[in-house]
Amino acid sequence: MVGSTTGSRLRAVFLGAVLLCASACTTAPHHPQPVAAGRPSSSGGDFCSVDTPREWTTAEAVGLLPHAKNEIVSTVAVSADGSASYAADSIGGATSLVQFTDHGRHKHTIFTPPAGTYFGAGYSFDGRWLIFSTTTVQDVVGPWKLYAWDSAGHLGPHEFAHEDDPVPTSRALQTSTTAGKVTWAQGIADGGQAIHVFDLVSGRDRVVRQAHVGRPLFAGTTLVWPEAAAPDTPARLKALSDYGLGAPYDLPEPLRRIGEPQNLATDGVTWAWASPDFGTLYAWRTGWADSETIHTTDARHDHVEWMAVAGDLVTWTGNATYIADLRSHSFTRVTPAYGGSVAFGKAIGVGYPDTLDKGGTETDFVVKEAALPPLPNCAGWRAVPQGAVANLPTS
Amino acid sequence: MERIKRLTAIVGAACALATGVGGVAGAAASAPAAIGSATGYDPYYQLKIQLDRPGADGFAADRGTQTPYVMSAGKAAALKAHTRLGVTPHSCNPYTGCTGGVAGSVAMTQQGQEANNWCGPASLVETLRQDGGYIGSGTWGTSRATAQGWAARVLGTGYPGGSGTGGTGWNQQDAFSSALNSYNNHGGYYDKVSVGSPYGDYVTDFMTRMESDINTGWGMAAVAYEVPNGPHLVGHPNSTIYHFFNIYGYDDSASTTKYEDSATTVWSSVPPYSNYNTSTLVEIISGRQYYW
Repeated sequence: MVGSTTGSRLRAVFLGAVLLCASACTTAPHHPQPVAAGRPSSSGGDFCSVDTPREWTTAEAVGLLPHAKNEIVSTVAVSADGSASYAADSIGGATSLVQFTDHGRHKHTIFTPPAGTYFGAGYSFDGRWLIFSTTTVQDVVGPWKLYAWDSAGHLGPHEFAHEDDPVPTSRALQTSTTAGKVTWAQGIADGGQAIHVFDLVSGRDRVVRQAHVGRPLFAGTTLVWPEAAAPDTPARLKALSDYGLGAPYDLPEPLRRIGEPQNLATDGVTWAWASPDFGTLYAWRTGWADSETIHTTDARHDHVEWMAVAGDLVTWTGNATYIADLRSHSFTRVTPAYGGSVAFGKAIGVGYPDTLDKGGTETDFVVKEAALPPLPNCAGWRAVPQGAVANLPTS
Repeated sequence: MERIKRLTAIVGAACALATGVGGVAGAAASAPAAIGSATGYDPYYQLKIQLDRPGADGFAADRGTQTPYVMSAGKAAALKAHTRLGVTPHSCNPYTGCTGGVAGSVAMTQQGQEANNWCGPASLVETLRQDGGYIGSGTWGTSRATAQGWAARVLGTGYPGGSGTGGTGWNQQDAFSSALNSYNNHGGYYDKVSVGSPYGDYVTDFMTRMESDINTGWGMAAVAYEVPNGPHLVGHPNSTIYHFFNIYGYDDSASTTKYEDSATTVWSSVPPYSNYNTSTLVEIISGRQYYW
């Protein structure tokens, strides 16, 4: 909830965006006044912006995570049904990784790093295994350790990989997890990266590719990553079957055509990515003949980033966080300004700052797709074209 | 007031990350083909003699300012020179821009940082190249001699990828303006402005100064302070990140800022050149500083 004092300051700043909004304004969640002027859907986007329906704001209010006054929570993952969420939880400067259940009323501490150790950015979740990283320096890239925690309760947090002396050209650590497999790219001496696939059950670590690659991620049983011939040159998606341990996989044509995908996100069925200038959001899903444009923005003033996919819903963040509904070909704004989202299964976790002050409190909520009826349709909306496109194998 | 104090009291490192949230994926972006040209080119500065600059130990003292309303005597003199040449911008508004010029840019000089903790050296080299300044060559350990290696020595950044250096850290943020003043080719001053808040005068002053510097052929630099779920530079993940970057131009009467990001070698999703809403960019810088 946006606090009364700080919220008014945020609204004052936000007025600028309101003035720039021509139409199609939406209502921010949990706010006593309808603040949020949404942006109009540009002519370049096929989807349109709509007001947030009452059912959605109700679901968001129900999914609010209660926080203590001095508690700063950053959600890093949600369970498939939204019944649990996982967050970096800071109180008085000490940060722990925690699990929230029972609408946030129950908090279980998973891991508290020892003094002089910090959480990294390598979070991922496959429905059972929560992956996270720690580092002993505050550099973007430094020595790191990767941990896994079994949400089924069979195994506590345990380290399964580490890098004590990353090469200077190492990229920041990012992970993806599915079916007990974890993948990440790790810098190697020639300036490239090695894609690792680690099996949490067998404890076996394999390097499946060495090249100039972006973040690898799982799409069902397929391992996908962007690859370039050299740094700062255009990349294309590559794929391997069988969790990266099998043969090269021919991606469907709409995915093969992607030029320089930015912020690629997928649940194995639906894919979302941004144009190279982060100005246009595209989506494609199994069965579609071609990709769809969800939103186009003026990249001089706004950007499309941090996408996540949950069933028929695609989220992204620019000057605010939005959820697009593939059922209705429309989207709505769900934060007053900025924010971020995570998704898994058919649940979405959204967080946004209560003020523009850095290090301040946040509002966080978790919503399930089942609690979100399709957004209103737009005039001229047409059914998503269906085509005979090969399905990606799923786990 | 309390809020401003809190922000200005924050210390930390640039090219650094704290408790992280989320992540991004993507691929490397290619650099735009077009090369920008200086707008409002100033023959006054062309007459300056390029001096052999002093070494790393000899550069001038930091000339930082702590409020948006104050500038050093040297910077004021430089601005007077701008005024005489008729390129000083006029009134600026966060939403409508400045009245002094629609667009301008200096040379596009982006280079990927050679080590993940070298955003400061990369940004220094990028800015000095825009200024036609002196750039040396230096090595660290067994690495080859490079401009960023020289800059890392000047700034005291530390070994490439060195653990525990804290990137281009807090104390080196003073060294950054000192280095700019020692090695730029304008004979002019760079001031460091600590941005205490993302509001009001901090935004309009930034716009005014960006327009002034770019119109007279100066590049700028700044330090981003990004927090989870807050605004980030394009392509950065949703984490806490401290990061030096270069500013090479403006558009839309300074309501849009054009910047270079050396982190193309840190996250594959980072474009070398981006445009950004100026008000939001100042929000990203708030709690840290810019150099103009």
